[in-house]
Amino acid sequence: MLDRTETLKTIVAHATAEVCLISALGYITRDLFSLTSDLRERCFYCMGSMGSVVPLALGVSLARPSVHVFALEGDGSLLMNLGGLVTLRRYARGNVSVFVFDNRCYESTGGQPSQPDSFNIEDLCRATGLVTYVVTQLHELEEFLRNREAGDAPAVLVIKVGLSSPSERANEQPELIADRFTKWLATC
Amino acid sequence: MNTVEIQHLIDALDWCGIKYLIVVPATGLEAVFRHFEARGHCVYATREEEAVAIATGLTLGGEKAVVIMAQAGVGNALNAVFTLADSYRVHFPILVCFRGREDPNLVQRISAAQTHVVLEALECAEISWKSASSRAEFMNLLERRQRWIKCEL
Repeated sequence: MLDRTETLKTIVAHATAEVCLISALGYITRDLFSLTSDLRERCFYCMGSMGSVVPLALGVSLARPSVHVFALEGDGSLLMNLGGLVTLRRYARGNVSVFVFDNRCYESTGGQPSQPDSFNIEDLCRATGLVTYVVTQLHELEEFLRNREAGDAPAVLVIKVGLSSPSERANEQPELIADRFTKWLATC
Repeated sequence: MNTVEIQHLIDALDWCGIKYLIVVPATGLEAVFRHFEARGHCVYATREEEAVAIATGLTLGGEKAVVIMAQAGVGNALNAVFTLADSYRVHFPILVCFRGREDPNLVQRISAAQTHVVLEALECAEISWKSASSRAEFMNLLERRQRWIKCEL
């Protein structure tokens, strides 16, 4: 199992100048916030709206084709709006990459299981027709990030992660996050 | 709405520079969908909450979007409105369409009655598309950053 924070560090390190990052509420946003003090303007930290990262990323990607959107989701949050994967497949171009941090539980509420035993969320992603990779080693993630090319369709990476302590809460006003992000997008 | 009213709605959206329509399809608005489909800017969402999130992303990216939903979709949309669009102060209008009070679907009548109560609490505005002047009224609502706007189909 990969470590969530170390995995996010790798993703952030490969977030080249045209990349923006949208993170799901809970531990993913907390970790991303702690890792991105130097690129806040390119980040949208969700602190609510579970299940909305994928459609939010779709909207940004349609508005700004020259921007590549990294959508950082949790498996539990993704399950809340599975239809979003279908809509993503239908409308997204190649400037969206969805990273699903799959720890098979609702970690920030105490670790309740999010999936049945014989279920793999990557199968569900593939069933929507989205190109889906499973990542269990950091070098697999690095390889994707290094070789990422703008194609015609979005990609989904299901990253198998374990449980780990979160960073501190993001301590910014939501309106500031949105305003700063909008201003950066306007320059792209 | 009759065809004249539908055209007033379309004219209002165009006049206000709305580029994207995000919608879970509602009966009676097919002409509106076709209008935006012809431009490649009609996005069909699978759920109203998703529509709100897509509109939020489009708006953050500098595009003008509107979400249209049937009244029964309001409940589905609330989480994304409260914890995303409203919390982050990302403005786009949500047009909620009601069927008439004589809707033959009894469940829709019950739902509509309750949705009116919810929308009143959310300080929803109301608009009629009967007159061509509705476009100026709609523009005024947008300028006031009115989130919820209801109308009758």
